[in-house]
Amino acid sequence: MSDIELTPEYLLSLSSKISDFATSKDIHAAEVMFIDSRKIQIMCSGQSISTARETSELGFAVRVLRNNTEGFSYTNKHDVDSLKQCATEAIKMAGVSPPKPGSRFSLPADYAEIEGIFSKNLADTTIDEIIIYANEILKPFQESPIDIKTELSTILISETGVGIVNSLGVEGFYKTNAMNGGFMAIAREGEKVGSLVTDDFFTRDPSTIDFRRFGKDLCERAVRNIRAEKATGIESDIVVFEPNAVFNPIYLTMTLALAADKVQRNQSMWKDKLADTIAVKELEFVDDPLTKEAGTGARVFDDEGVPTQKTDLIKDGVLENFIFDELTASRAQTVSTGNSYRGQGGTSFMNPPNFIFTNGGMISPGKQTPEELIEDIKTGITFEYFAGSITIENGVFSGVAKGAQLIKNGSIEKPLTNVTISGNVFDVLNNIEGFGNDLKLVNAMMRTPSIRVKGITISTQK
Amino acid sequence: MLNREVLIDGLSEGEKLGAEYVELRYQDKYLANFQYRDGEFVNTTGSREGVCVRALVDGSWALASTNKTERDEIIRTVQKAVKLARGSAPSKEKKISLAEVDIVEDKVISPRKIDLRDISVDEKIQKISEAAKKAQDFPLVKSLTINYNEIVDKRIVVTNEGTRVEWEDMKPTLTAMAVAIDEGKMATGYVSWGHTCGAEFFDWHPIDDMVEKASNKASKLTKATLPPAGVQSILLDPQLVGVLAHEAIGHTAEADLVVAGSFTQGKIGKKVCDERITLVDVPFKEGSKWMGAGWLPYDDEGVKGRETKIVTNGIMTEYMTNRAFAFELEMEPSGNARAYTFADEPIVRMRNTFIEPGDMSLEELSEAIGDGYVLKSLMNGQADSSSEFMFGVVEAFAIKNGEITDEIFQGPVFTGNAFEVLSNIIGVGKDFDINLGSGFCGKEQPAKVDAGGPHIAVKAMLAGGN
Repeated sequence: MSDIELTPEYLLSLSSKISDFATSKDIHAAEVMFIDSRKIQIMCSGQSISTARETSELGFAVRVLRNNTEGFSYTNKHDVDSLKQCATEAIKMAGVSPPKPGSRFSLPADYAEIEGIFSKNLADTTIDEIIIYANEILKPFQESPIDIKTELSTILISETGVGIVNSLGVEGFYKTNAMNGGFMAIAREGEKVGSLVTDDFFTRDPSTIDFRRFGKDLCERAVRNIRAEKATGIESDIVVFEPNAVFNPIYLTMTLALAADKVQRNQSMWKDKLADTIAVKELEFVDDPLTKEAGTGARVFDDEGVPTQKTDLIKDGVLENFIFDELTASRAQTVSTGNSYRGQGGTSFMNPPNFIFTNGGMISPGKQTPEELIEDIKTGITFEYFAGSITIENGVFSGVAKGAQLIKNGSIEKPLTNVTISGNVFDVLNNIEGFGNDLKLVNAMMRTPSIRVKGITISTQK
Repeated sequence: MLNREVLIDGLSEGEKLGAEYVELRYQDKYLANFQYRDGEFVNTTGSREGVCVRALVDGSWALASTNKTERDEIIRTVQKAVKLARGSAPSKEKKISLAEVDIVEDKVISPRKIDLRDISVDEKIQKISEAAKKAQDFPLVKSLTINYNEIVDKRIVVTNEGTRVEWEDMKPTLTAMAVAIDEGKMATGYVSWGHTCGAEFFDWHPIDDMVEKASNKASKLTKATLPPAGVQSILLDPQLVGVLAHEAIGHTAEADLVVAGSFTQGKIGKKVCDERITLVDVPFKEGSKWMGAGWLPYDDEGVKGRETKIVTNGIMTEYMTNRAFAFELEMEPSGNARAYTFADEPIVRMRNTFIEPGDMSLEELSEAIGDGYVLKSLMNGQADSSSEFMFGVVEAFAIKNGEITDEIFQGPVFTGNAFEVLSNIIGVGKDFDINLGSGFCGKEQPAKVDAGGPHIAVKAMLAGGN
């Protein structure tokens, strides 16, 4: 077995063989997906690199349809007998699962090419080069007069091949790679410990990242946190959500309210709002996976083999479209928008398609610089990320504004701790006062600028 | 299951290549998930197996893993790990050394009365389908999700020092979530359990009972408002005490985060909270009748788990360690090095973390509070290195004149600094339970942990209320 070269062609042919095996067993349709991944990674701890890692895994997912019942199983073994056993288990699961009306597999379609989602240069990057990048990030930690350390921080290069075949004639394969960095920093001064700060980057061209600058920014923010004062009596309802803070709660709530499964299950506040104005007219929200700028969201087909596409979601504040997978599209008598995922953490061979999410969602930036965005605020706060609770279904959120800074008379006055905020995302969308021009890729999969909002309840301890 | 001798061959290869320490971990993890969504199911079964090799060369760590378990591939993976460790050694600012541990040979199976695999998939799906009907008794409930998971995790850890341990772990978890809508107002009710056990889980937590509780909560919460924001007298239930112990205190006492500069750095022997607080992390812990989900006889370095007394009578006493941090901090390894899959590196993680019971009854705690709120059930939670935390709570009930009433409130966000909160306690209950539900701790990689304690009354901040 180990002598066979596991090329995409071989894996697609193996998948077809397993699909044929399944369809010979009184099954109406079969689908086989595989994910072949390889990662090289450097971990950092304290002010130094800690562990070098190299991991690889090839996994297969088999899904079958018998009438309206679906069966699924997975394995990371890749010999024919194990894969047939996996298909047999999927068929068994179809036999015991209740029907799911509307279930269907995707039909053959042409896949677009997305330029630049696989970089040859990045594929040739060695672990020694990653060590150099990591050491650049760590230099400002070592040079700081204040004790700043990191932990569980990493630079990772991943290379992933995704293939899918089904018995209706679908056959597709794409390969992508990326370099991700995720770092945290904690500063201490005597007994004073600052809240941890985090930041990440995503690139396919390491020369575009200023690693030293990235480390320096982290250190500056970590030091700012030990200087932060406990917030007291802020008389304002104006809050600037910096890009990382937009992701949760705003982006998550919007995206899940747009997901057709939530709409069809009465779990979306936008269920009956298609073509209605649901936000300020300046809000534009588009799902565009057909560009490498979409980060990990740039993919040729979704997890059911449906071609991905650009979809207008909110335009001029009006709700334009929901996002669909095959099942929800079938029930709504429309076509899938190519937004199916296997699991909430991205494409995985360990789950059947069970989650609808944007691929490369983007909230359009405005024209104001971050400085201009706050210049007419008498009192307010700006913050880096939200650590709190949100009820996705109704949009109610409440929690701590981390990395908060007080805005006074149009400029940043001082860093704060112990600031809590609360509000409702669906109200927030109608209370947006401005969009920054600081568009940023957040969590490697959505792009957003800073957003200024009024009507937020800001609470402090006194 | 992989023949252990293949792993032993890998150790020999690592030693031959000059590694100071070599460890091979084989893992075969079966996972089944049956998710009911408003009358339909998404069902998953499958397993992943693979081998992780860790090598220490010239004081430098490296890890390589593979899901191909043939002998030649394992040997290649060992070679890769040794090469990576040797290659990165010159860049290491600080050389790694490992604390000494007892060499052990053992085979352990987690406690269970009925093996989960003895109940057919069909029967489990039927149980869930039947239980879901209970939601029909609640006209406001418009959507119901039941999520059942079972994990059977087999591991073998061998080291070139001679340790040979194998264990098999079995953990079911179940969550019922109901969404109710009344006059346009939407509310969520949520009940969740997870233990180390077998199919007796279904007797302890009948699924229809969980659906009924979730539906009842959701229906009542449609009429509820948030309690007022500000500093309040609060009675925390055992689940919230557990999450405070795990999330806000426990993480700051994990040796990797201590060395990185968390709040507890340099605090050993110092008073950090009220003397009525003793907080521990243990490899086994039974709740009112079930084994905590953080059952872990050996960690993924093959170290036998022992109790870690993190806080004793308000004094910081110990950190949780792996072998490398135990050496650095001159502590005894505690068996807290954990990896989720064969591709993950063992890092310092908790197991079953809890606050020891005190001596007050629930009535005495309510009386001591006078007017305030009892907070029940965790929705979500986060904390950071400074021990600042925020926990989203499912529901709250008013305490008036020392009595818990049935006046229900939407769960507020409970926030503050954990050590300050535990320095301002009103009383510690004498009851005890352990249950973090179906959730996983998410420090770099998932880990099934558990946490608990007694009811505890504190003065603390509720955020974002009316």
